[in-house]
Amino acid sequence: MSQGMHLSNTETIPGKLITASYGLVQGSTVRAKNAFKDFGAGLKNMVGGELKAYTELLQESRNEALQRMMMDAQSRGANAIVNVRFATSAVSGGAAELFAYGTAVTVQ
Amino acid sequence: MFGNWHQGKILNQLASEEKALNDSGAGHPLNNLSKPSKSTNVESSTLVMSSISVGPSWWQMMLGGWKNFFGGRIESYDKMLSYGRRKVLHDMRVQALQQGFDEIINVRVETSMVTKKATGNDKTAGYEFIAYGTAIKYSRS
Repeated sequence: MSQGMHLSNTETIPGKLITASYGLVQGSTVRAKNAFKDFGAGLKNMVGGELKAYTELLQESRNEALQRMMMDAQSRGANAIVNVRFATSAVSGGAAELFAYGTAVTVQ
Repeated sequence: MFGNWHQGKILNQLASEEKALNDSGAGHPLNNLSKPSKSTNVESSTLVMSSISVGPSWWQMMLGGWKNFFGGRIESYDKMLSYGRRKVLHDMRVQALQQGFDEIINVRVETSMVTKKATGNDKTAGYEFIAYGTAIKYSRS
């Protein structure tokens, strides 16, 4: 997933020293759920339980948001992102926005 | 109803998986400290996450709708939400053990609603749980 880039949701990369900071980087993606999958999830909703279609969709989208965040960091010349946070919001009935943000830094 | 039975089944399954893991003597590598708990040198660290989305059944949504009117605890929702949260933490623990991480620090669990309404006319209701943290491997030397 991370092409040589260190990610961490703590304030430092454990065991490494931060030498430079490049500020906040972020990546986001808005995904609408597929009508067919939504139908399937709707059926699944009759009994409740895990909604696999949504689980997969959101995992995929979150990875995309992470990728975009890492690209942002790479373009600034950073090799690590610390204090990564995730946020999700439903922007309308059928779509969700997935958002990842963190601080781009260089570590040794 | 049928949904309740299905959910009871997956809850029991999760409980037995958790129990099997505990009985096998596996450690509890998750914590939400912001720094590694040992002062040993850290060999590698990486961001790990696990997520799941769950939804209540239609019947439960309807019951939930009624309960919203009178107030009080919504037991049917209780079950599904606690399942989701336990499941992501369990998956994360399994992930840590399988990949040989010594601990996962700064674990956060977040909940979000992926559909518009929890109750009412919308036929699907989904909640997403995501757990993420920094997995750490200590150097063995």
